[in-house]
Amino acid sequence: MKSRTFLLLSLIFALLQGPFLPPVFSEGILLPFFVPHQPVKKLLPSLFLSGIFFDLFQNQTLGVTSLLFLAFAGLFIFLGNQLNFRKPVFLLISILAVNLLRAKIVFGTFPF
Amino acid sequence: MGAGRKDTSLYLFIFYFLFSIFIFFLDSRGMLIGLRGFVDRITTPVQTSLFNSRKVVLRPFSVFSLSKNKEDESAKLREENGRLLSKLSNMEALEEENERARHLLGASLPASWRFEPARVVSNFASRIYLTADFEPKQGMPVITSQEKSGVLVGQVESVLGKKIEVVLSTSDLFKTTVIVRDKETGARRAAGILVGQAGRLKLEQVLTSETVKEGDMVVTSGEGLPPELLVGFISKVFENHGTFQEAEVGYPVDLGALDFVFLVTKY
Repeated sequence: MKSRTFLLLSLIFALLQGPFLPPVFSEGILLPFFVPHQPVKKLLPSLFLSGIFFDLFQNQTLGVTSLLFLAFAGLFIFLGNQLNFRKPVFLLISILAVNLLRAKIVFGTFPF
Repeated sequence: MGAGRKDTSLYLFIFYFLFSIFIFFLDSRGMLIGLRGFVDRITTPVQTSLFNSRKVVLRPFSVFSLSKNKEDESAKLREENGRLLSKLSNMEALEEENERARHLLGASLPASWRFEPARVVSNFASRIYLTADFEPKQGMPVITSQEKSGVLVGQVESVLGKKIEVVLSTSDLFKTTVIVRDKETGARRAAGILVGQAGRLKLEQVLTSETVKEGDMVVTSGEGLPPELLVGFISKVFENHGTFQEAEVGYPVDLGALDFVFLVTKY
């Protein structure tokens, strides 16, 4: 997935999530697919901007989601040598972790 | 070279991390309100129209939508709320009826008497109209409780569907034999006939040899009506001219405050 695609999807999901989409953090699902395959120079600004978009359009304090994305990116990069995130079980765990953590930290409640 | 790239990545990572913390700090202090305002001006109309179009667009997919469950739940809650409000209203009426019954139990009435409650729905021209869960017979006495005593209100005249017509003792149609008792001692003072006269009560045909005083109790004698039911109090004794004397009897029932009465089904 290209950085521009990831940013565009961030923008769209951030706009649609409140009024239209069900309360599922869609970007969190894309994160494990995007992070392992990007060079760091393109990855980090994309994650930072994507987090800013989410916080801005969902009326949350700016920077929170960016910090979370960057933290997860760091984890993926650090564990990427030990774990293969293409395997479904690791992918599922990382998606769940991103979703639950963001929902709890940003919205104060789990999405279920 | 490899180590160099790693260092660059690490520095970039630290930079963006710290920059995010900095942005978080600025926004939490309210220093980015201008940026938020600018973005809100663009996104709010978009999100509003998306929200308004949501119902139309998502209706075909409502089977999968969580909002449909919430709408169903909301409808169920509204229905249950209506049902509970109705129950609450019934309970309040029962509570009031119960309170009246307790009051009546405190009155000095024989334990062998039996009563059925009835609710007053209207009163007009010396008549009151009741509703009850049973069908009374014509002539059945209707009482209420006052000052720890059973007080005669009137008698059942007719039953019209679910409504019971009761002729008050102050009606021109009402006539019964009564006994006059001393209010303090309860001693019998006199006997006479009580008649209703256009909203008032009049005691007639009391022998002049018998003494009646203002404040004396007038109670039923037991002919055609349960005995010792309070009908009223002597309010004025007229000057006597002949064999009999007459007196005005005060009607003790406040018709405006009458909500529940009791039909005496057995005495």
